[in-house]
Amino acid sequence: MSQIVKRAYEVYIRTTPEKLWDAITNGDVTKQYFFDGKIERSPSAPGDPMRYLDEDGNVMLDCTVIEIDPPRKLVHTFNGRYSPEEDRDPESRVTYEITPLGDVCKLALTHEHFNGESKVVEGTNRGWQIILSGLKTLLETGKPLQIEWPQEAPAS
Amino acid sequence: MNQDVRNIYEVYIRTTPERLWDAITNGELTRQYFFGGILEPRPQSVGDKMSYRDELGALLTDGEVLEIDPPHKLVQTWMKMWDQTKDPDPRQRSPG
Repeated sequence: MSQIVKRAYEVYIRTTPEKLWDAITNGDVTKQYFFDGKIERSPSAPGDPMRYLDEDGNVMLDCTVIEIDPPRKLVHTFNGRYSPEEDRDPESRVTYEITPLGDVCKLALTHEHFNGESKVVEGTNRGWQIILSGLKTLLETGKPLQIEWPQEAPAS
Repeated sequence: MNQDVRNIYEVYIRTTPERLWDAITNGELTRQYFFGGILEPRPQSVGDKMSYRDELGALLTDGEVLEIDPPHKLVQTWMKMWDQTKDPDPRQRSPG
């Protein structure tokens, strides 16, 4: 029996809600921390497409805005297109919530998967931690985080 | 019925292993990000105490080194000591 898996992340970033919102919705910024994925067009209303394209223009993620309240909250569907069709999970949902705390913003990101645990759930879990680290580093230092991955995955 | 709960966190930081290790084990640095908690003395070997104290010397968390391999791995027990009378916690174990 399937059940909803909810993965929640929090990161605290020294920035303003406006700059953080721009970093999440502006393709020129997303490509610097989101596995090179560039949002095709900044979303502005529910129903807007939010497609992340790779450098060659291939669709990595095909998402649609469910709720949008700049610079506080964004909810969108999540459809991964980066793996072969048979390896994909059904549509899931991502929520960003921004809370200003003085000079800092708390960013809470929740990813709800509706079909239980899967390899995709594990993969996106790892992916969000890389993305959020990259987002924080970019906003706080102005320079993207460049990670050198070892040739072989480290034994864990 | 009790059951182990394991929460796992990952963060990617532009730094070197040596500087990150220092930030984790040097009290002058821990107090700048660990809710003001000063880790002293610096842990060196298995069995060393890992006590974080606030500026007034009150214990925030207490623990002991289980495994230490600088600058790669640190495993410690962890016990919450703040507000101890209000909300006592059982001994826990956390990888560093």
